[in-house]
Amino acid sequence: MGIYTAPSVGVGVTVMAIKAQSGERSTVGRANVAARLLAAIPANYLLTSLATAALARLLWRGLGVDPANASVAAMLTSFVMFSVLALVAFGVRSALRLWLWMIGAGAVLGAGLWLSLASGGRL
Amino acid sequence: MKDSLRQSMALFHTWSGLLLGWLLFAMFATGTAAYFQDEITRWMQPEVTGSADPETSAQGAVRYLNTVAPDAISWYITLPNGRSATTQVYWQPGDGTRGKRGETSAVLDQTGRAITVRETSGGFFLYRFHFDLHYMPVLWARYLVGIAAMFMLTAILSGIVTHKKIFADFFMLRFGKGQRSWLDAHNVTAVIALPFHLMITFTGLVTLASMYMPWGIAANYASPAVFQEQVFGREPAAERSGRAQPLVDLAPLMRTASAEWGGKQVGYISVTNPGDATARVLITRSPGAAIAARGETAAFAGATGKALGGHTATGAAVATESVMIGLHTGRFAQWGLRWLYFLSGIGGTIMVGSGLVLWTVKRRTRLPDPARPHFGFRLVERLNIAAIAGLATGIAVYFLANRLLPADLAQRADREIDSLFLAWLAVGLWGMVRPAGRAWTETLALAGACFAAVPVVNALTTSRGFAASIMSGDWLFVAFDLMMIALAACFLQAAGKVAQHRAKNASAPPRRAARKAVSQ
Amino acid sequence: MIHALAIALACAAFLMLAASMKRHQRDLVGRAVPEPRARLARIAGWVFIAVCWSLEAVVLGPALGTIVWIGELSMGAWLAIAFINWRSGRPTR
Repeated sequence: MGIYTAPSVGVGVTVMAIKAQSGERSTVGRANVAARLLAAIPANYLLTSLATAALARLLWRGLGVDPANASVAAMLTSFVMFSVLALVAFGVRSALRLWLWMIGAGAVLGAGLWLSLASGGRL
Repeated sequence: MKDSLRQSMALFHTWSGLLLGWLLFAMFATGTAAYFQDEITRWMQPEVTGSADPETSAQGAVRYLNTVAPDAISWYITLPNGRSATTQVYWQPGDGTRGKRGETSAVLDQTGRAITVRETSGGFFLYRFHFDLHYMPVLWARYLVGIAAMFMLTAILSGIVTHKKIFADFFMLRFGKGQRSWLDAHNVTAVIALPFHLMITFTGLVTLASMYMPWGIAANYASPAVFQEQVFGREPAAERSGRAQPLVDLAPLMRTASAEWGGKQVGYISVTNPGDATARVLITRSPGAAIAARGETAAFAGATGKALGGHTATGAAVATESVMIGLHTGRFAQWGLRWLYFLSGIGGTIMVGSGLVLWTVKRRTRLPDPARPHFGFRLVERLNIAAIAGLATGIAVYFLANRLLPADLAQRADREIDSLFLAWLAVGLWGMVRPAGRAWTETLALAGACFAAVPVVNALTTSRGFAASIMSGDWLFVAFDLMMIALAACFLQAAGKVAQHRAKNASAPPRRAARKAVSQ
Repeated sequence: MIHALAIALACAAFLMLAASMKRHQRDLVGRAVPEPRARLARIAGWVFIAVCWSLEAVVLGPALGTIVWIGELSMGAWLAIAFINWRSGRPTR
């Protein structure tokens, strides 16, 4: 998904971990954790669902895989997507950039899925 | 910079592991036992002896169903395999009602007589518990279990990122070295069976994938039923014609189907509209006959026995899914591999359990006042006791109840299950009211004692005790007793270790010992 | 029977790999091992693991063989670690 940029990874959570350990739990630190938790679980599920649905459409309509196998292949991939995205959510430096990336990806995937569903229906 | 990634992953690993660790422990423990679910069931039905022939059993099941549910919408027959000796039947009543469990199902011997003595859910309960839980709607349970499995998957991945060194420290485990050895135990059980852990967690998610991630199917199909029909060849049942026509003998159909699959055994038979001219027989390959879990099917007209064509799901993704489910359930495994599965499962159980204990061990040293920990710490400590010692005691009591409850008790199978949870609850409560260190010793010892009691009670209440089983070469019963003794020894030893550790800590000044342990 | 052989082979493989690592040499061999010898041990370890796989693949077929092989590697690793643990017997690392 391109969020994972090696040199800048992981600083944000570490900072908040150090803060939490030293007992200084600022509102900013808490908001940071909350933003990442929201990104890692509910938003992640939404995005992965969109990606799974879009992949199933792409495999079937775009690449000519039969619909049953396209659906199952997307389903199998979804768990990899979800777990990697969950790790990335805690690994990247900036929670804001994480959210922007996720919203952007969601918009692109959602638009693609919508177009695909509108142009050719379901079985 | 690399270190900060590792640190954030470590944090993630700790909390994702802790949050659902208790549930994961129960899933791992009962799922591991489920690799021997047929053997456990046989042990819990000591009155059933010998083996059963699938063809004779199918004929017996049809005789039984013809008297009990001749006008059913459909019959489902699970045939005995090499490991089990009974037939499970289940039927959908003709009036469309959904009967209570136990009223629309039965366990039969190969002549088609219902087995009523010592009614039990056997190993099947442990298998179902590991993803359906109990006392709660199955749907909720499966979502909960799915969330736990997803946490497990992320915990494993973040664990790999965190502890890259564990691959280099591969041979560094040292037994019995106090707090360090908890970390060693966690790392080594994790690393040694890492392929197993990744496989079992991922494939576990795959078994219920269409529940957790239905959007891949929803994107291509307006109705999941169409997908089901394409992949599994399930057709909606035809209307009953009203013209009665007896069902043909199933044995020749089974032989035809088996020959079509290159000699692989039949596992399940379902009959829709039995006794009617529209009856349809669907024969499914045994999941034990190949790695892929979703067996080939062959359909026949129930009135004439004419083949209606079979169905084998095709395509790379569908086949991959089927193999993944097969890998998870391990039904194809012969004895050697089955034991490898079982031992790997025990490794996984220890990994989760030691990870849970590790959370408290690491934090105890950092507590402002180790003698008076804060609420969260106490909660985790108590839940660990309940989860680890409580479940172990519960399972042992489940086996004991099977031997001790009256053989003809009403709703006996449910009472056995209740006794498991009562024992679990009792140990949990005991852990709440006692000081944590002492509670560990006592509950672990109790679990050990309960496991040790199983062979004794078995010998006293049945004619298939340890000595008798050895004499008659009944290796299943011998192995069961030995396993109980091994488990008893492990839990008693653990109880002794904890007691020793406490005695040592009581004599040493706690603060200094603590500080030394944290500097790892 | 084949399992016992394969697990023994896997255990030997891991012991070879351990013997090729500096910090385990004193426990396993009693002295430091010169680098050429250590490399030989490393190669032997990997060869054993490969032989173990080929054995199962020939007997059980590549698919089932690979599954069984992974399980046997795990068991072999357990035995190897238990053995090293027994040999080292040092109070601390």
